[in-house]
Amino acid sequence: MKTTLKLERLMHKLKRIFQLGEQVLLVEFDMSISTEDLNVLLHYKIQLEDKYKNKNVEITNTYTCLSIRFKNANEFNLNTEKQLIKSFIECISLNENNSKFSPSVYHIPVCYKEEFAPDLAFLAGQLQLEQEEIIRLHSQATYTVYFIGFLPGFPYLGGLNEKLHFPRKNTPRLKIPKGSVGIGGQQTGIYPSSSPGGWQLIGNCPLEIFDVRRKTPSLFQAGDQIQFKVVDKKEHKEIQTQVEAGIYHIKSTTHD
Amino acid sequence: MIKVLHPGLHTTFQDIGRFGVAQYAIPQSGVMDEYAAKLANLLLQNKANYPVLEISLFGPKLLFEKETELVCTGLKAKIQLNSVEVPINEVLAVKKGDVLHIQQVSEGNYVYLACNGGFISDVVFNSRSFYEGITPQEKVEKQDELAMSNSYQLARASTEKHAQLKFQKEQYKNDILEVFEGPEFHCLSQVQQDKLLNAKFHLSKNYNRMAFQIEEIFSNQLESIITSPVIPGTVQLTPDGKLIVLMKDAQITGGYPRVLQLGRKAISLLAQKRQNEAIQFQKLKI
Repeated sequence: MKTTLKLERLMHKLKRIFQLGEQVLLVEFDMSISTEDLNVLLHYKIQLEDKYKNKNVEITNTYTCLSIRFKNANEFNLNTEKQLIKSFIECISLNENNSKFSPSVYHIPVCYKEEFAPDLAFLAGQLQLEQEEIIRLHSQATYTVYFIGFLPGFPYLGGLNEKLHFPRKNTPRLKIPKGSVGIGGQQTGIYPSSSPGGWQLIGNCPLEIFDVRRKTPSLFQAGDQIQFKVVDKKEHKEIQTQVEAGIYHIKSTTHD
Repeated sequence: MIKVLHPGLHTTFQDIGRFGVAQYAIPQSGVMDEYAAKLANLLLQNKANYPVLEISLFGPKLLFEKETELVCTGLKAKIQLNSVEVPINEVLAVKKGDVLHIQQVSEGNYVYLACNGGFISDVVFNSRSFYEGITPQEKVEKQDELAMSNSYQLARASTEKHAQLKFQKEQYKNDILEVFEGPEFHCLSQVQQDKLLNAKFHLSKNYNRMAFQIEEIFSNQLESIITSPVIPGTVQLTPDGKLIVLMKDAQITGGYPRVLQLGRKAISLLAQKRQNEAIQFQKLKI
């Protein structure tokens, strides 16, 4: 019974396939921003990556869309590919109803102390919550990485407790320090490098979220899950030192 | 080696950019004017995708520490070799100790400098294109030593020079940018669609490697979209009516409606347009 329901859900989600310029096909789905739909989207993504293996085709996702970029677009007829992808996706829907995707849950240290949290007191006043309560709510949730966008390595995270939703600053800061953890609207995120930005800053993460020297430069990938672990200033400093020395191991667990 | 005596306003290494790293939100980057950059390489019988120096407005002053052949391509520029004016778009032989000074890009925005055999610089994710936080440098600095490949034969370009290869400047006199519909084009009313494709627009003073912004305000009632993919050439329309054409260093996602998409040729053409220059969008069929 459960299986049948899932099949029906999968079958009607393709909205359209749109050609963007000479090189890119956008595969758009009728989906909501939910971890359930994200898993379906990533399931399609993995299947398509397999289909286009070794063909110089790059596939990325956002909330409800897959972007397929053909490096050598002149070797393909994108109109034909559109039809093929449509049939292919319908086929996946009929044949497979279990996502093979197994995300990791990363335990990410965050220090919420004042020097890293210039907006925590302000936010507490505005939201009428104790600062400790904000920290508790923020570090209790499990967040899902929907995709990496905006800045190299910047994870778009879903799952912020509704009590913590709060608009961005009207005037963005010119420089937000690397590792800053902030709230912007319904989202929370970590700045992988220092940059201008309008988010309300409530903490700092000592890890290298993005490191161009790594083979996989971004610490997170779409579908990963994150939990924030509260650390004090001393631990923050220690972790930073270990990260710099290359001896810090990020704690993670994998779901089956 | 080439010693940088003066770096110029904003000089970078660029090639055809990056592929396969959008999943980390790393921009494509690469040369703004693909046509001019490619021609620079072809004139020297380099491979078309060799890295070149992308030079904007005020160019660098370079001391050559070994002989080579080079070419600067672009619309028009004031270039001196050992204080003597030399032509753009022509192969030049330089000797050890020569000083090349690209004083000013006088038409268009970018001039490309290629040397015979190509440059050697840091390769990050299969590309030498400079980008802040990705490559060790984001622009060429004073005192930098730029390395050139040894794998070239000086005689080659002079004896086998392609007579038919010529910089086609006329194509830049065109103000028509060939575009495709963007994913949210259909959300505009018929009247707005017609207006977007028939009106003359002008470039604002805000243009750089990330985006070129249009001066005219295009009033609209489109709502923001959920963050979605964008690529170089995507034309975004903001709620307050700004039309923003994304260029090579653009982010990989955006939240504004994507009304049009420039084709590759149109990106090269737009890259050389300056403030107040007119442009008009003309639809291509896919």
